[in-house]
Amino acid sequence: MSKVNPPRPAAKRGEPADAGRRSFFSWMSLAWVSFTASMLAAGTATARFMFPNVLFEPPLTFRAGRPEELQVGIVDERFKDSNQVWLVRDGGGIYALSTTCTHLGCTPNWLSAEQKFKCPCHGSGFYITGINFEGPAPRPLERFAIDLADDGQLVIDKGRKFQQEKGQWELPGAYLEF
Amino acid sequence: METIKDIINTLTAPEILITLAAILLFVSARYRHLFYTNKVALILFPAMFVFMAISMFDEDFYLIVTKPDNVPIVGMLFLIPFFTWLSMREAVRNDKRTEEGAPLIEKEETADKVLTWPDLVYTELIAIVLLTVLLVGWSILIPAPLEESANPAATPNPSKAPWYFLGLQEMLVYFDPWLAGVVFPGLIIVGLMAIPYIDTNPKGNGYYTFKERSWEIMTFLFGFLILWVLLVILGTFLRGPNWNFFGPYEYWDTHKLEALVNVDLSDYFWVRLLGMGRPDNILVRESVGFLVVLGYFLVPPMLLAKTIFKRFYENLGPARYHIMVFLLLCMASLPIKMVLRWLFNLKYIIGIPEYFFNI
Amino acid sequence: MSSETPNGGTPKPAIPPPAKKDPALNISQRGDRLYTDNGLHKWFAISSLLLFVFTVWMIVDDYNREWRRYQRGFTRLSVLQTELDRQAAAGAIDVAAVNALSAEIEAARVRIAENAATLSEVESRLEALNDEFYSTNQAYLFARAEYDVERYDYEEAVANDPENAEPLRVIAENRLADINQNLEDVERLQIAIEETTTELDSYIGERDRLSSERDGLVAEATQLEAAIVTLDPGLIRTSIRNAPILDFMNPSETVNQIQLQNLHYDAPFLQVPRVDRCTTCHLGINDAAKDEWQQPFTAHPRLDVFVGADSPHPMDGFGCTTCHAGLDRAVEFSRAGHVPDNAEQQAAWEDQYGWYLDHFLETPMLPMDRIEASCLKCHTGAGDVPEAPALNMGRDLIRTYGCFGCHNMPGYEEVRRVGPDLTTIGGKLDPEWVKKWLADPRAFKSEARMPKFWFNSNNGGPEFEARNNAEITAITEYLFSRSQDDPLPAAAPAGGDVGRGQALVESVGCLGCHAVGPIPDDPARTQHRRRFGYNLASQGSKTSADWLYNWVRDPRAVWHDTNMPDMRLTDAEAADVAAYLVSLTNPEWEAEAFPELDEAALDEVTLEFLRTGSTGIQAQEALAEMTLEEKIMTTGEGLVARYGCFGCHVIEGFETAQPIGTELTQPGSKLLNQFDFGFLDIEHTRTEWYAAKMADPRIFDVDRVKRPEELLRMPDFGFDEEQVGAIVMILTGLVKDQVTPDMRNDLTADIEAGRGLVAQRNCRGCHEIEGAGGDIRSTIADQGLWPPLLNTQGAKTQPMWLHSFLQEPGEETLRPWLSARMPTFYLDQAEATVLGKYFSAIDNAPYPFIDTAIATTDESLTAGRELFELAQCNLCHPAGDQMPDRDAADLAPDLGLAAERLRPEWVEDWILDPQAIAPGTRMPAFYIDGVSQLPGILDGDTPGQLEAFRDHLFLTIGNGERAEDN
Repeated sequence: MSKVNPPRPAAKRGEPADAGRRSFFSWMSLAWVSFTASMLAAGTATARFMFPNVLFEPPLTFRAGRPEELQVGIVDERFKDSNQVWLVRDGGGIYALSTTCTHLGCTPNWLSAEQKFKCPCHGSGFYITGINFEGPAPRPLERFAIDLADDGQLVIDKGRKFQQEKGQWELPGAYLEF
Repeated sequence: METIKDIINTLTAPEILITLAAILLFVSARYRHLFYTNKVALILFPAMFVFMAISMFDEDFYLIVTKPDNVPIVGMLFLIPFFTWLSMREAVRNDKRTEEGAPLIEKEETADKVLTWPDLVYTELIAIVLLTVLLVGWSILIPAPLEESANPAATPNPSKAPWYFLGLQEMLVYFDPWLAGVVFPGLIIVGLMAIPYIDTNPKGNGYYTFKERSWEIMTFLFGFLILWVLLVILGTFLRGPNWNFFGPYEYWDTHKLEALVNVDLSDYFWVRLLGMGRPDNILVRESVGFLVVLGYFLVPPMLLAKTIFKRFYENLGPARYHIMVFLLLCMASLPIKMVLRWLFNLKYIIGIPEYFFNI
Repeated sequence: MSSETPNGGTPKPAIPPPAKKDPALNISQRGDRLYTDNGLHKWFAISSLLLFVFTVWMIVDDYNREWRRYQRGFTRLSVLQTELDRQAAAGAIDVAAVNALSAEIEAARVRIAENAATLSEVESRLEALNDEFYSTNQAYLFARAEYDVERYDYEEAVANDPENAEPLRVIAENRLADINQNLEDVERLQIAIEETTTELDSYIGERDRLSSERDGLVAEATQLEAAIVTLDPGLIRTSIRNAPILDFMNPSETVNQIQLQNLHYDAPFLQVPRVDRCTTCHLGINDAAKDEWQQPFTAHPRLDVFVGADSPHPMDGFGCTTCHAGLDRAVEFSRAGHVPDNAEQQAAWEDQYGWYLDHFLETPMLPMDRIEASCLKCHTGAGDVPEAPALNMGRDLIRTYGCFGCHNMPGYEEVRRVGPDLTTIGGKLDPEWVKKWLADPRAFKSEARMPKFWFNSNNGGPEFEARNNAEITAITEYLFSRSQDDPLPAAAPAGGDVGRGQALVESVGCLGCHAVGPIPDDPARTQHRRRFGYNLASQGSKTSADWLYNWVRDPRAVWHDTNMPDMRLTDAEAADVAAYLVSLTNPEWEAEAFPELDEAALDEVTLEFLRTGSTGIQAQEALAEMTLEEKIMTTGEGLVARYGCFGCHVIEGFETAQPIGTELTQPGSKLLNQFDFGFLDIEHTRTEWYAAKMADPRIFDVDRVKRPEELLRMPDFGFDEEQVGAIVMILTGLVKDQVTPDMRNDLTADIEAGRGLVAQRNCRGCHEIEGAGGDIRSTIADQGLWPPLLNTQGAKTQPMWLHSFLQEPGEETLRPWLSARMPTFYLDQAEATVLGKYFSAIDNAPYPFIDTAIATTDESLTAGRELFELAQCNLCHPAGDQMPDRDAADLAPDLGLAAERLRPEWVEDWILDPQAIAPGTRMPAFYIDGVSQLPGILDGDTPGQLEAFRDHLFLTIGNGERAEDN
């Protein structure tokens, strides 16, 4: 028994009569545009997910006692281990130095007999002001924003740093006059 | 209103609910040309929906039905009957056509072949997208049901298994954990695997039919709808604290007490029937149970082979026949045991707790 | 495949119509396709659009957290506030001064401009110098480095290779010479630079100074303006920083958290460090300026005690949830476990925040009226917790009412039971009195501490009356039958005077621990220590003059374990006191008679006891064979065991019996599903259950069907609302959280032990110690007659003297004007030492060895004598054999005792300012604001005069030791 195939209908509903002319709007393009948009949105959301909303680290801003507790010309090492900051008081005020050597990131030691910060990794040396003067360190130690809180305590904000070579040590916040 | 709720609460007790459901299944199959029609669907499903909507005004009903864990089972309450109705309707229609010599629906209304691309795969893509939409919407609207971090000193009451195991958890009421948790689930899987080997009915391939496969379909529907889905629904909505039964409009009172005064068969025989004490020797004590169980598995196969299942015996041959009958008897033992429990408070047919052997 | 054509032949009527109505999809017409392309595209488009919409909805829903709303609100308010402050600051600027300065600055600038040429020349000179300095200095430093190397080589050679060392030394020395030359250059340049800089400064320095002065005037306003910009850098910037997705870089809206490594949340099997995220919404909590702001931005009350950086509980070290409980890591209002304080607040919260109680949270926040409970975790010591009055009241109540007698409580294992000894009950009381007492103690005297066991809410109905009376009778008879009636040590002499007795009781010091009749309540709780001893009302209706005489005369002889000290009364005085006390009667009480015993009711109770251990039938038979006496004894003994009387009283045969109450270890952490709320309609929380229980311990039996022996047994103490709240505070505060020692408030052991003993013996009933106490004062009108303040006692008295005084206070009369006397407390060596150490510890005074040798000069001794006469010390103070001519009541302490008793340094402080040490003292002030009112001796030199006083006191009047002169 042979099959009789009925003839194809002339036109299927919804398709353009002339196959050569494409209209700008078509379900197909709408579909793929919105599908792609959905995938991009979901992908972006996933990428955003990878950045944590909270960090379980010590806070960047911390209180550092009273300015009266610091003596002129003495480098205060109380917050070196806990917050990676040196507090130095000179005649005019107080500044907070980062304990990260600007060469490759080691932690220098303060040698008070020789009045310099000396990094044990490659020998970078810094004056009490933080200016580098020997060894491979390319630039001075960075300062952190320092301010006086309402209750009279020092507040250090490690989220804001000041680099001397960019002239930022002159900006407000890098030096607390006291 | 309260009386209606009380009636419903009473009717949904396991013994009544399961029995009524089983009866409904068989009656609807018997009078399928009346039940599985469009008219019935147009009345039944909206009625179910309205019933659900009105019931939502009852606080306890609302709490159970809107619990995030239970929402998919509420969906199942509608989906399962719908698909059962749909397939049976097609089967009834096809049977009618066959009867009248007309071509089958599949031959007349559906294509001989369906192109994988685009008809299948494209449709699958659309289905994926729509399902994703559903899941995303669901996850936004219904939060994940998180409880307190697990505290061994504070057991949640009730402690329910995931929905797909609630049928088994319900069976634990009637059976020993070994049977309800290991043997029966194993037999279910083994039984499903065995179907291709014991089902020699060539009819019904690729088209809906009921008449040509009535035995197979009824067996499956009974096992699936009554012994699985219904138990899941029972476990989800009608079992509350301490695994007590609570009607859909009943408050889940943790302090509700029911006397579970169940009696072993050996008790019935020795103490109540013969009026003596139970024998010390375990084998003697449980001899009646052993007889019953052995008899149940040894006698019916041969009897049935000569009577109701004669056709089967001839078609399948003794090996396959006996396998089929064995599986059937196992499946039937669940409702039989349940009925025995409801009628006679029967606990175990063979009860040897000393060796953890209870049937 | 069907061979029929769809269009041929008459259609048979029975063929059901095709399910799909669309002819375009009819199988005969559509070929191989099931669906049209357009249809598929359309569905794909619709579903993809939906997917996009839902994905965006998901992202937005995830982003929209309620805490962002609060942070934005806070920023808005802060900006408003800062703007107001800025306006105020701007208004306060002295515009005239600013303008004047601006004019001067302008003038300076003009001057600079005029000298522009010179200025630029100086600047370029300076620049050149700086450049030169740079290269010269570098050369110097490098040379120095080379020198260091060469010196090191030389030294190394000297150490290891001496023969070849010399050339190296030469090299090093040469280098040194070079360096010194370099150094000179560098220094010369430094000087030049300094000079040039000064020169430059002379031109522009003034302008700079004026500028900074002007800046100083407007500094505040400028700062505030900058602050506003920091707070709110503009809508665009803020929106971008905090936009969804983009907020991973540097958001200003963040979840704030305080991590506490030392404080833990007790999860099953795990101690999880707390991470408090409360400050995400509570942004103003640590800012004193925000104390008037609305929640959630308001500042914490008492920032000097809590949360403030200088407080004992700084926020960074303690967080929030260790005091307030709740879920630390949550950032949503309801999930964090906020609990409303009352029903109105709950309604408001449900309305405003959609609040619900998260019943899965085991530790919801404490309502504010129970907040002191958290103090107990760390303040575990015996002393009062500062700033926690309800908590302290709770502890007092537990100690007074003896909860630990029936309930095992941690920390109270060694404390003595609070009730009197019943092994000698026959010698003191009579059965009729005891029966009436048991039925309702507070009917006898309102301050009775004994709680009520019968006629409560679960056994008060008429059907219980006969039974209750039978139980009471059985217990009473049982106790009396077991009583050991040793005869009383002495017989009361006749003729005790009631009036003298009353005067004695009211003056000799009884009222420091006792009261006669109800004690008026006062919010400041200045009288509760007078509940330490049993109330003296109605004593005449209770016991005999004989017994009272013996007791008052020598309490320990009657009951060896009593806390009552010996008042050292003479026999006559004791007789007077006894006569007075026995005159206090309660006629109403005496008129009532206790009902006769109903044997049937007694049988019922006896049967219950007989049934334990045998069947009902055997019990009936046994009962039928018992005499009344036997029934009473069996029942009495069983009831004493059932009601746990031995939890408060010593009863023979029950010395080692286990307390009958629920163990109260960590009641604050008890799981909610272990509480039986009965049919009581209260909130299902721990605090509510405890409050209901303490208000009426039998309340959970109401409406329940119970056999009599199943009824709740805790008796009713008659607590009022405040007392209930205080006890609930303690119960809520005993939690399972383990606080590490470094976080706890552990005082030194000496102070702890001392405070414990002071509480145990009620020293504060008479004396004010560490700022609290002296309850007896309300009974003494004249402030001069109050028992002494024990402030500075450690710094004041010599340890040896204090030790012997505490053991034998009656040996010397220190203050002859006082009628109240310090009783003898029978303190043993150890206890006296504890107190001595305690007083010294709180004053940081040396203990136990002090140097009382006094270094002095003859001049000082002479001056001392003169001062003594000038100040007329003899007017009031006996001094050795010199007695002032006054009544005893007007005398001051005998100065002859000073050398053995007082510490020399303290004497100087005392004379300098007596009122500071003992306010209200009659000792005159010889120094006003440190200026001597006795000029002329030692030229009015205050320290010198004080030393002279001291020297005279110790060396001349007393026989103190003079230090060797070096």
